[in-house]
Order: sequence, then structure tokens, then C-alpha cells
Amino acid sequence: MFSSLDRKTVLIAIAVIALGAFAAACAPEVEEDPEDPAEPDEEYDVDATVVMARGTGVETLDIHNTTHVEATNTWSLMGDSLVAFDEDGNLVPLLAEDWEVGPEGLEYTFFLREDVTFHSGHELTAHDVEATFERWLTEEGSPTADDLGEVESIEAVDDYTFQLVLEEPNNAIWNILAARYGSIVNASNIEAEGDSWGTPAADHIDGTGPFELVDWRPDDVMVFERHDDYTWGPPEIYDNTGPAQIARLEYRVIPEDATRVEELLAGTVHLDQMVSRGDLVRIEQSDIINYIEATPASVEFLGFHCQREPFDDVLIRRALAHAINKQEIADVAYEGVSEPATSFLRPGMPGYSAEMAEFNREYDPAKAEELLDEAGWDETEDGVRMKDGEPLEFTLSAFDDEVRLTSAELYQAQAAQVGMDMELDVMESAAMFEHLRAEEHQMFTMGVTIGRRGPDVLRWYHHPDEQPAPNRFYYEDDELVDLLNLQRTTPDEDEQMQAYVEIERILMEDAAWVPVVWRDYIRGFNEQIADPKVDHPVYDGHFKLLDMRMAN
Amino acid sequence: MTDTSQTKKENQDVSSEHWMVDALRRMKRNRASVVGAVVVAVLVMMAIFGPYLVLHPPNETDTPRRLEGPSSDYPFGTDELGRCTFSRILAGARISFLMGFISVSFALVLGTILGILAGFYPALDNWIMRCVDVMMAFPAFLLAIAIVAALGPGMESTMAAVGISSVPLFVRMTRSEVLSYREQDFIEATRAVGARDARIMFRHILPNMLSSVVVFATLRLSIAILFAASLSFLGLGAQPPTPEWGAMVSTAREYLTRHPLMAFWPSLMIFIMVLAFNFLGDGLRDALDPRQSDS
Repeated sequence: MFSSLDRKTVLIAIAVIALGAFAAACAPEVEEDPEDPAEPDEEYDVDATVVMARGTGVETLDIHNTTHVEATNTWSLMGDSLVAFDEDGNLVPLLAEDWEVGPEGLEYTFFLREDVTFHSGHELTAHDVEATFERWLTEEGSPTADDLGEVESIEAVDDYTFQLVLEEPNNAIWNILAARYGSIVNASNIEAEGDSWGTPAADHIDGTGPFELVDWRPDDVMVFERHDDYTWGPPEIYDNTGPAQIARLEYRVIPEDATRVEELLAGTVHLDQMVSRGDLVRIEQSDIINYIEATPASVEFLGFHCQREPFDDVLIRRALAHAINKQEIADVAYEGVSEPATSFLRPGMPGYSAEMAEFNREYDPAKAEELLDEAGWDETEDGVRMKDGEPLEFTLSAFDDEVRLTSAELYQAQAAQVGMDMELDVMESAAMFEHLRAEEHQMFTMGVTIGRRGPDVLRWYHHPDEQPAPNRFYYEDDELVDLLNLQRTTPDEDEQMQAYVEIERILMEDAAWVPVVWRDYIRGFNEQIADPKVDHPVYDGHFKLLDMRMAN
Repeated sequence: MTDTSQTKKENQDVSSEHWMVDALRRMKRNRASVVGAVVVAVLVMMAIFGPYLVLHPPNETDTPRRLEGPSSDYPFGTDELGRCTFSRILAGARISFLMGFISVSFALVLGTILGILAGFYPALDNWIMRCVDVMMAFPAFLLAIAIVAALGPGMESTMAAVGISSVPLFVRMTRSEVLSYREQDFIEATRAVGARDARIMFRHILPNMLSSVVVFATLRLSIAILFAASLSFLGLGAQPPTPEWGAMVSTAREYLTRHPLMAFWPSLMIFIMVLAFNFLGDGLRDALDPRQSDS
């Protein structure tokens, strides 16, 4: 058929098609009018849509029923707390423009800003704050209700004055009030939505933050639009106090690290908070991607159910702690982005003391074998140790993201070297939290972002009042409980700091957990994102993207 | 291919040779099936002797040498934990075979029994076949995923899932065979001399349809292996650190741009194994059961 066409015709046809394509490619440039009045700032696109990617989705946005970091990140965009911390850790006003503390540190009176509105247009008053605290403290299963300690009363004194009275002093109070789960919610919105509030089934989840949630498809995307009335961003933290300088934000869930990087390189994602080090080479070669190296974020640890076999035996916990090669985990699973941890609290964070490194259990397989011998687990031919005819086997429960999965396989190989048979039970995050809450685990691996939450997080994890979540360790020790209470109530700062050292000592001595790495994140972002000072959602208490701008 | 078997079929009646010799000759004529048979034989050898031929224990990590290309130590390179891909491939052959064989055997036994009963007893027919219809209403892979989800991930539940999802096909196939034999003279004759139902079903009908069942099972084997690998790829089948090929591809996906070889080997093996079983199955069908061949 082609042979019947003469060559000239074919060439002309190709030329026409090519011209058409060229014209199409040029078209947007022709249409672009530099004098366009719709764009007051030529440099930045105030109507821009920014696409961010994250690895895991959120199962609930009921802020009083979750501690999932992605849920609290989302609330930081959607809501505001009463107070906040700036970059240097100073307390700054947010929804409360001023406050007074009673003489014994028990009475807290907050004076609210009078210009704050929710996305729905509802004006913020002290009654909303009261209702928020009411729900926070009484919501069934709230993992954070106990953070405030014993609360004597909460009261809206007038429309713009709110009073919180504690029964005993709480050193962590500011960290908790500034935490993202301390966001103020709209009581009438909760009442109207009923049980569906905080779930994808809700019509609207109302907040005061710079972005309004307009669409939520679980495990796929959350879409936010700018809250145009927002003007109360803390000037101590942001150059721009509001409203946001982009119109829309899409927060997409892309579980695979490699896919997130591909999308970043393709320009379909503008910001990825967790670029894997292995892909960094490709990012470095790319013209369109900038990145920020290693921002300290969290601590990753192995935890034991200390009342369940075989980990009710302290010798086995210690043996496993010595069997774990943290350097290998950091080098391989974290691709060298993170450092091996020598304590739970990490350097540079409140509560950390250099003394804590002394309690660290070094990687020492010989020591681990010695401890297992001592515990009565004998070596066998096939490699798995036995005691009374039973093999030394147990299951590690782990999240299914790439880094955790690789780490889990390494833990497994490292445990096998000293004769422990570790099985893996790998779950997606919602299932994992449920599994832990139902107390179905023998040991687990997890990470926690301490950030502005402060060292009081130790209490979260080890105070008997916090079982079954977030205390999933069931390690019980009277001295530890006393110290956990003391660090919260003591007015003496030295005594408080000493308590943290002692807490670390006890927990490492009895190997209730093994801090494995201090995790850092690399953030990759498209060069169109003009302000590289993009808030970090994981470590910092604030994540409002007020300074983020998109270049034209 | 079709021509050959047709001609052979015509000759079949006058041939005095044993049917197996005949079938073997027919198979030899079909080059693809010979290749399939040879490859399957090699894979069977791998499955049997693989674990003794490995260069390194398949789960042994050597993290300083992770994501390496082929070398004399690691002929196929290493994976993300520095494990020897060659050794893992060898060890994985047995797993894929076992998963395929066990699940198909399960479906074969259960499906054949149910199919014979349905075909033989009109009273049971409606009950069994309506249940089969319900199961057939679900896409087989979706059914398998649902079963694994209910049983919890793992190799045992994967085999059960793949097996159960194949049962309806075996039931349908055997029932139709039984129906075609049930009214034939030799069955009537057996009945006339007073044979009991069980004897008729399992001594007279079953041997006659055996070749069809074997052919069908061989063809299902490739699908079962693929299903098992797919479930492992989705994280529902073999759990880490099991060197299952599908699971290996799944892990390698993360390293596709950095170390494509890691995904290449297990994918290639799945491809070869499935193709070989398909060739073999087609060949067997033409040889043993010419009636079924595609026209």
C-alpha cells in the first residue's frame, strides 16, 4: 500500500504533522501574556497546585483517637493549636495571643485571638476550645488524654478566655498544648457529623488552619484548598502570616519509594519528604530537583512485650539487644542517611544527655550467645537454640514500608546468627496499630518522632496508665514509674534531667527496648518550589506551608 | 500440529502399538512440547537438587556487597541485603514447584471427586454445579486473594487459595466427561452385570477420562504457579526471607532503576517455568487427548 504512494506525498505528510506538533508545543508561549492582570506577582503563581507525596495513608483524622504521624501532619495544615514553638524552641502565640500561669503552675488562662474563623466561617470562641478539651479528655480510647495529667477543670470564662486547671504540675504541658493533636476543633461540626467525624465519610472536617480539606480518598489523595481568611500564622516562625501563597495542595499516598522518586523526577510530584538515599544519585543528576540533606526526625526502635514469652526473660531481651548490628541497619536499610542510636532520646533534643550513651548495648554476638547459654537455651545442629525441647522462636511485628521491611529482614538474619528463629509478621499501618492495641505481639518495630513533644514521650511508652497504647511494652518497674511521674511534676530542672538519665538507664539495663537508629529524612522538591525553607512535617511542631511559593 | 494429530487419530484404530508409544510419538513430532518437556525436566532437577547446588545459604546476608552485578562469587549478582541471587533462584525453584503441584493436586482430587459425583448422580448434580457456578462468578484471582485475606498470608494459605479457586474448573471438566461416558454401552454392560456405583465410577469411568484430567492439570499447573507467584508479589504469599520468585520480584521492584538485574532473574524464571508448562500441556493434550485440541 505504501509503495503506491509517491515519496513526495509522504514527506509532505510528515512535514505537516511535524509542523502541527511544533505549533502545538509553542502554543502556550504564544498565549502567555506578561501583562496578565490576573497575576499580580509575576514571579510566583498564587493559583498554583502543589502536589506532595507521602508513603502511608491515614486511617482516621479523629485527632483525639490517633497518634499516627501522618494524621497529625494533616491536622497541622488543617488546624491550629493554642500555642506553638518556634525554630529555637521558644513558646510563641498561635490561637491564644496571650496567657497567664497561676502561682503554683496549676492554673492556665488563655486569651484567644478574636479574628479567627474556621473554614466553615464559624468564629472561634472559648466555647470551641472548651469543647475540644472536653472531647480530648473523655473520648474513649484517646491515646493522648492522659498527657495532660489529672485535670481539675476546663472552662470558657468568657467568649475569648479559656481556663485550664490541673491537679498537679505538668512539665510537659506546653509541649502537649503546642502538639498537633492539641488542635482546636469545631464542636458543632463534630456534633453535626456524629460518628462519621474524622473519617472519610464525613462531609466536612472543620479546622482553623491555612488549608481546608475538600476531598479525601483514603490511601489515595487528600485535597486541600487555601483558607483565604487565614492571617494568624506566627510571625516568629513564618515570613508570611497568611493566607497561604498557593491555592491548592494535593497530598498523595505513594507507598513505593522508587515510584515517589520517579514522580518527583517526572514533575508530577513537587515534594517528597522521604527520599531514599539510594535514589539520591538520580536526583543529583536531575536539573529539576533540589533536595535538603538529612533532617533529624525520629528514633526507630525494637520493642518487646516484656510479659510475654520468650521476652519475659530479661536475658533473652539483653541477648537480642547485643545481637542487633545497628551500624548494618543504618548502612543498609537507611542507606547511610541515619545514625545508629545509642539512646532513645537523641542529641540536640530536649532531655538528652551524653551520659546516656554509656547504657547502650553494643553489637556483640559473642556476648549474646553467652547470655543465651546462661538462660539455658542450648545450641543445636540446625542452628536454632532449644530449651526443654522447645526451639527459640518468636515473631517480630513490623510495618510494611520499604525501610522497615528491609530492617526486619536484617534483624531476622542477625538474630539467626546467635541461634534465634525470628519470624516476620508484616502489616500495613492501620492493621499494625490495631494488632498492637489488641496486644497480639511478642516484639515489634516502630519509630517515634519526638520533636517538640519532648522527652515526656518516655512516659507515653512506659507508664502503666498508657497501656495498651501507646505503652506496648508492658515493662513494669516501680522505680521507673516514680521517675516518669517525677520528670513531669518536679519544678527542679536538674532533677528532671537526672530523671531522664535514670529512665534511660533502667530501660536499657533491662532491655525493654532497643533504640536502633536516629532516623533522618531527605526532602526532595521540585525547583519550582521557590522557598526551600519548606516546613518539615515530621520533626517540627509546625507544618503549615505558609512560606511555600511556586515559581511561574 | 492439528493436522498431525488428526491423521494420527485416524490411524489409531488400526495401530496395534500400545497407546503410550503412540502418544509419545505424537508428542515428539511437536517441537514446542519437546522443548517444554526438557525445560520442565531441568526445572524438576533444579527443584530436587537445587538446595544442594547453592553457592551460599539462600538467606545469608553479605551487606557490604549488596546490589552487586554478577561476579565469580555471585554469578547472578546480589540483592538488597547482599544475598546471592543465584542461590535464591535455585532454592526458589522447589518452592514454586511445590506451590504449583500441591495446589493443583488439591484441586484435582477434590474437583474430580465432586465432578464424578455430579455427573453420575443427577440428584447431586444441581447442588454441586450451582455451588460451582457461584464460585465461577468470581474472577479466579480475586477469589484467591479473598481466600488468602481470610486465612492470613503465608505459603499454606496461598496453596489453599490457588487450589480452591481451581476446584470449580476441575468439577466442570470432569462432570462433562462423566456425562459423555455415563450412557455408553460399556457402562450399561457393567451395570447389567451388577457392578456397584462406586465401582463404575472409579474403575470404569475414571480410567477413561484420566488422560483428559492429566492434560487439564498440566495446563492448570502453569496458571497455579503464576497465581502463587502473583500472590507472593502482592505480599500475600511466601513471607520474607523465603526465596520465592514472586516475592523476589516484588522486593526488586524498589530497586528497578538502580539494579535491574535483581528483578530480571526471578522474572525470567517465572516466565520460563510458566511457558514450559504451557508447551508441555499443549503437547500432552495433542498427544493424549486429540479430541481437545484446538482446531
